[in-house]
Amino acid sequence: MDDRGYTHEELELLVSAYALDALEPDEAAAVAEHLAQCEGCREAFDAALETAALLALHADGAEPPAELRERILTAARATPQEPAVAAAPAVAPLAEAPAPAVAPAAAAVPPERRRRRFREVFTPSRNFAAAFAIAAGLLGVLYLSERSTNDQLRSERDASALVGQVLAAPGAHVVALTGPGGSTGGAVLVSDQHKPVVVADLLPAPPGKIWEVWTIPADGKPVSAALMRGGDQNVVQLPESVPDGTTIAITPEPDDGTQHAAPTGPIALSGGVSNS
Amino acid sequence: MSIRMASRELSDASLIARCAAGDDGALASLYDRYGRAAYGLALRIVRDPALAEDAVQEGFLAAWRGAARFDAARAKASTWLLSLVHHKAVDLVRREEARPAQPTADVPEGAAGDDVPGTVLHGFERRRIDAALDRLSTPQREVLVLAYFDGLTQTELADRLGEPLGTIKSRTHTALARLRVLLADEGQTET
Repeated sequence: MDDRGYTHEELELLVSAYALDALEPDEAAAVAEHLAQCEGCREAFDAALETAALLALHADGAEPPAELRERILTAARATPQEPAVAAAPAVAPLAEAPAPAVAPAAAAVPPERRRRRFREVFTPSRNFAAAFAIAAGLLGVLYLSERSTNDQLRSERDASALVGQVLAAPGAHVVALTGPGGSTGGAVLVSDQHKPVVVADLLPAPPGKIWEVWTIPADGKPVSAALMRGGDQNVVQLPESVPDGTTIAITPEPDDGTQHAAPTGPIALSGGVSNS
Repeated sequence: MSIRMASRELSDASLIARCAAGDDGALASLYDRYGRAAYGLALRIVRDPALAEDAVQEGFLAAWRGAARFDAARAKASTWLLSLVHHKAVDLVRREEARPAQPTADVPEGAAGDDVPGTVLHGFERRRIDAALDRLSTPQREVLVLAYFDGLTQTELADRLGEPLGTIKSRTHTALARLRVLLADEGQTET
């Protein structure tokens, strides 16, 4: 029984109708609160929303008036975004990060009630994705591609949780990784409590190759730290913390199932780590 | 070096991340990908071209404002966008006091949806959904269509169909779950 007098079974039954936007406001608010606390129902909601969106495709697409595109863009330029961020590159600590939650659930409730509800149901785990989106948005980094299989989804969720944990930890900050042309193509997420996490916006490595992540001490030779496939597998945690002044670099290397003694490929992305 | 940078090559999730960073070009790309589907959906719900435009605009602006909250591990970007547009359209329809008595009527004459067939891109998906909907019982299909496309709440559905609210709630739940299973089965036999 929740605060509003609904049992879990009652709320569970309403999740589908909630995904269809078919509840009265009070019921919608009760379900939204429940989803924030019940992972099982939350997963059922995700699935229901996915099915509902397929129904959307049942409505034939229709050509919108040409001017609608520009009207939306003009309005967007004048529309401030819901805040996400402390000054770059630092990421707001978990407890201060604003408005966690996912829009579809929130959207069913009038704005005033929504704001109040966010505070009521605030839990740290709900902020991970928001924290990640902040970093990704800041850096323009691809982090998660669209899910396609359950296995991939699970690994993406793990990766998402990992990124969230690092970003939420004390001292969290983000170091950009740039390509040869100077464009940002990835990030190293560093915190006081976690080993660094590398997020790279790299396509799958060329055939026969794999991306290898190197840590290069200020006055030393490169040490292989991790391998990543690129594409959908683009997040990796390094085995050791790295001292200030270490350079992180990513190169394509032969995909022979092992880490290598020294880099041979050209640098795809690199950046210098500072821990403060 | 194959670093993704051009927005036309970016994944939907990456475009939303860029929206969160204030890149309106990313919003434009999302609109180019989903504007047509969104407008078709809105038009089917509100049955008025001007209201449909409003719903699409409000939905895309909601995505723009809330981009930082999008969670790619939870939902596909297209699911998220269309759900925002759906929500806005339903909202608009509920504000309209006088709803047509026959809610499953087609869009108004002359509206774009009338004579525009599904695009090739959506054709396959649409046939798949048609087939799955056909396999639902008539009462199951009815509650889904009335709820999703006509914006009826569960209470309104119970009134409309003259059945107990509890029955409607269970049926809606079962219908959507069954549709999901049918679509999944379909997907497996296709591959």
